[in-house]
Order: sequence, then C-alpha cells, then structure tokens
Amino acid sequence: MRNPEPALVAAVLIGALLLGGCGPSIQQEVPYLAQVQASRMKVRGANIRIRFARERPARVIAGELIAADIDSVWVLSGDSLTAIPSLQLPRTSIELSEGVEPWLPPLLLLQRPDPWSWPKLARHARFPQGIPPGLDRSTLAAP
Amino acid sequence: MGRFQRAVALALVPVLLLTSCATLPRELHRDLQPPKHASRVDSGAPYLIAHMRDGHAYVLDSWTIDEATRTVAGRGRLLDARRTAVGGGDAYTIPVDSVALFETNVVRVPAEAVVIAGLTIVIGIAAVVGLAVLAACIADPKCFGSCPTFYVWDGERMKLQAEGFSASVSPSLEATDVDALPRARPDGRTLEVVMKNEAPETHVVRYVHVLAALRPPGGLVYAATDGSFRQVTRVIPPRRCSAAEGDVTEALREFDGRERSSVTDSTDLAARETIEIAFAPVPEGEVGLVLASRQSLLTSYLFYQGLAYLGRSAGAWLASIERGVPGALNQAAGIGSVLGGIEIQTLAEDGTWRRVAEVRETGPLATDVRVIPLPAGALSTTAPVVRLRMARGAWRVNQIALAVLGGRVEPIRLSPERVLKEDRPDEDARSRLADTTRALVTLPGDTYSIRYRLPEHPERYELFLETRGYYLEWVREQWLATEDPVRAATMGARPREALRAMAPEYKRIEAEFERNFWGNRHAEP
Repeated sequence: MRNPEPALVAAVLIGALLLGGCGPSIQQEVPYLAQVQASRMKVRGANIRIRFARERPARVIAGELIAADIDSVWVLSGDSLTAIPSLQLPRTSIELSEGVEPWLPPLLLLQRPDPWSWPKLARHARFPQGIPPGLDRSTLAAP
Repeated sequence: MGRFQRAVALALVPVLLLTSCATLPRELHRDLQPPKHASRVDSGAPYLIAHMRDGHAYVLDSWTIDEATRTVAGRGRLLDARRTAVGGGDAYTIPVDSVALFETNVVRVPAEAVVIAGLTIVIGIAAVVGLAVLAACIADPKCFGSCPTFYVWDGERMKLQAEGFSASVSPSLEATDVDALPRARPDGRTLEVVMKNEAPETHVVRYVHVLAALRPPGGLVYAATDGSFRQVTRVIPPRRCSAAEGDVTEALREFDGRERSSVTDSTDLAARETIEIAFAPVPEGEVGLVLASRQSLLTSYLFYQGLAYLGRSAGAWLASIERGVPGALNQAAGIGSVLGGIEIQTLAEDGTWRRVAEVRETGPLATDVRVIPLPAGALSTTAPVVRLRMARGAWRVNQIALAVLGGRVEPIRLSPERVLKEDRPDEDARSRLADTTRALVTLPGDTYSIRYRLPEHPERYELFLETRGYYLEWVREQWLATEDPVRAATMGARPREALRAMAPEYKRIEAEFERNFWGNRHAEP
C-alpha cells in the first residue's frame, strides 16, 4: 500500500483530535453559562451599573437594562425608568451581568464607552429592538 | 514523513487527545436576527425568543419557521412588556413580519477557540512529526526559519537565489513576492527551480511562476519597487561609497556577492547609520537607483524572540491576526516600523537631503535586486549623491548603482511545465501550482523540482521568480523556556523601548549567531 501523504496524515490527526478529543468536552456546559442561558428565558434585561466617576460624589445608576439606542440608554431602577443620553456615555464606566448572581462575573465591562457603543448594550436589553412605540413606560416595573 | 516519525505520531495521539482539547473555552452566543433574515435563525438553539413590535415576547422551546407562509409555529409562553406571562404551554402561530427581532442563545465553543485549538494542534503535530527536525534545530541556528527557498543553476551549481513571501507568516498575510534571478543559467529553454521547505514550517504555496522579461539590446531589465518591470540601457556604478568604517566602494560596486554590513548598536537596535554614495554625472532623463540587498539576521531574531516570548499564547496571537482583531497586526508591525527599511535620500541642488523612498524587502537568505525610480529633479545630474539610512546591523548591501531607465516591459508569465518530487513526476503538485485557486502544502524536508519551458532565445530574457502563499511557523519546544508575556507585550505596545531593552541581549550573541548561521550551506548570498 502506498504511504499516506504527510498532509493527509496531519489532516486525519487534526480531524481525530477535533472530533474525538474535543467532541465530548464541547457537549459539557459550563454551569454559569447554562444559568445565564436559562435566565434569559425570562426575557429580562441584563443587570446594569453605570458609574459617573467624574461626578462628586460619583453617581451610580443601577437596575435592569431596558433598551439602548443611538439617543439613550434606558435603565429601570425599581419603579423608576431613567434615560441616560448616549452622549454622556464617555463619562461613565459600565458593568453588565446576566443570571441569578447579579454582579459576578460581569458579562461586559465598558470603560468610558463612546456614544456608538449602544449596540453592544442593546443586545442585552429587555427590548433589544428598542423601546416599543406607544409603550406605557410607567407599566414596565416588575409586578 | 519517515517511519519513525509516523510511529511516534501515532503513539502520541492519545496524549494529544487527553491534553489538547480538555480546556476549550465556551461562550454564550446571543444571535439577533431581523424578520427578513428569519432563515438564518439557529434551528439548533434550545429556545427561540420572538421580540414583538409591541414589546411582547414569545419564548418557544419547540418551533419551526415556515418560509413559504412567513410564519413561526411553536409551543411556549407569551410574556407581556412587563414580562408577566399571559399564556403558557400553548401553541402559537406568529406572522414573521410582526416580529421585531428573533433571538437565540447558544452555549458554544467560540470560533476563535477552534482556530486556536487548530493552531495548537498543528503545533502539537509539529512537535510529533517534526521531532527529528526539532532535535536538529536545537544545534542548528538555520532553523530560525527560512520560508520557501528556491535554488537555480548558476552555471556551476544549484544556488539559493530567492526566498518566497518571507513576510507572510499567517494566512491573512498571504502575499505575492517577486525576486530577480540575475544569476540563473537555464539549460537551453529549460529552467529548473528547486523549491525546498528547510525549516519547521508549513508552507502553503499558491503559485510559483517564472517571469521572462525581454531585455533591450545590450541592456537589462529590473523589477521596480512600483511593481513594474523597467528596461535599463545603462548602469552607472558608484564613484565612492562612504560609511562609518570608511570607503566601502569595492564592496558595493558590483553584484558579486561581496556585501557591506555592520553590527548593531549595543544600546539601541533601532540606532541608525548612513552610507553616502557619489556618482559620475548622469544624463538627463528618468533615473533609478539599483539596490541589491537583504536583511541581516536581526529581524529574524526579533520575530522568533517575539514568538518565544508569546510562548503558549503564540497561537492565540496568530489567530487574532486572522480574525482581524483591531491592533493585533499593528502590534506585530510596531517593531518593524521602528526598525524601518532602507531609507533612500538624495542630495538636491540646494544642498538639502530629500527622502525619496524606503525599501523593505523581507528575508535574510537571498539577495534581491530591484530598481527604485527616482522622482524627477530629486538628483543633481552633475554631481549626483545618494544616501542610504537604515538601522545599524539590520541590512547587508551588495550593490548600489544608478540606472538610466527605459520603457516598461510586460514579462511573459510561465507556469510549471513539469514538477518532480523525489525524482518522480508529481502531477498533483504541478496542477496545484498551475491553478491559482488551489495551493501546494509542503512540510519540512519536502523538495520539489519545478521545470519551466522558456521562450525561444532565452538569453534575450531577464528572469524573475513570482511566488505567492504564506507559511506557518512551528513553535519550537525550546522556545517555551523563554515565554515572557510582559516582554511580549512590551514588543507590541512599546517597540522603541523593546528595541533598547533587547539590544544588549542580541549583542551578546550577534557575532556567533551570524557565524553559525552562515557557516552552513545557506551561507552564500
């Protein structure tokens, strides 16, 4: 029988390693990620903490991320819905987390994000499509 | 691959299986698709969220999207904008166009990790199949890389005359390289080019063409730095070349293998030096500077030392270049930018130096010759003076001359007529080299004899080698001993500082490094 080409042997080895070696481990789910995945079924926004470090005393807005668009980032804190103009984002640092444990580990850390960072936030919001038109914003708080 | 290597490879597969894939990272991949891209929704996701325009959301754990009726059918829950359940366990049929966004969440191995794993496995396989090569490398500095090397008959022997795409160290850096073959002596109308893989590297060769450019009567053709091929009717050698060590005219007058080189600065590898060249008066018209040069081993040292500092994360770094991570390539290019190429300056009529070009041909093995067209008026015609400015110890210069430029010439591009491997015709390799959409992959030790059929009267043609491809370095096991993330980061973020810090280290090994390297059969430029 003709000896296999080195490239073929390499390809077979790579295939064997990826399929045989990695396959079972790919199926294992990391508990934290599985938890985040399950919690998203509630279709709530990520926990967000926006810190205005330059203000004295430093102002912090924390709550559920409702939506983010080119104009504003919307945060629900208790019954209060706050809109932070996107132009203010460079003056902040932002932490995001999803799942049962609110702040560990953070999903996203943004230091002085530019105003164009809103799409990064929007995908973790309750309404990734933006605030629905005609929505009564006073009814957003959890019952 | 030899029997021994294959046996070792098979024996070590279980080891790799146990070690290489155990720690692949995972990520939660959230995908959002607008209704017009409903067909792109991941049907394997454990649940689908349909965000409705009015703020409601359906969470479906079994669903189908019907492209024909533009509906989503499934079972699950409906949540209002407050996320209070308004229905559960029910069957729903939802018009796709009433949905604002579809969302899926999947835990997966990120694509980058697969790339890294692939590179790691390649490195692992390299360690297995290349054991003999690696063992030899420990004692052989030649193994500091070579990219594909090309040997062509010079009338006496097969001589190293070109190295292909030396800067293409990653798939996304695939590039075309043109090297002059002024010493090639074809056998009648047949030109044999021997391509070798002589280092622990994987070479992916897209093509190897020979370019034949018609010379003007009594003249030459040079590849120009603007990508054209220029006929040259007269070459004007230098009258006097002055460097820090004194008169170096003899070394630079002819393309004869005698080179002018220097050693690096002991405190700063980016420290500059100059060579000043005076010429006899030149005629009016377009003039170019002929420069034959190659790099010293300094850039090779810096590249491999950088990979060594990266150590186990070298694969991740290469993968980041492939993914186009912003800054990854800039980090890699930082050292090269600070080190620079050969800057060409001309002395204008008003006595000021004017920077007119910079040459950056990569590769320490084969000397390349090219012509740099000089801008009109950049050079005094009565007392032309040119200055080369470059990093000390970084370049070996073989020839400098002025050329009176003629017209542009379009070379004839020749594909391989025949390819032999181990003296046997290899039609698959030939077809791969002839088809620019495919590639020939070579491993250490591979040697191909590539034959070309030249045009009639081959003596009337100047020959060039045009190669395209990229190569992958195999991280050598011994490099991991010097893994140092802080130094690697310094090289990327603060290259000037790194070049100062590394200067004493390189200085300690410079003489021996060069002597050992050129002591082997690659030594002759």
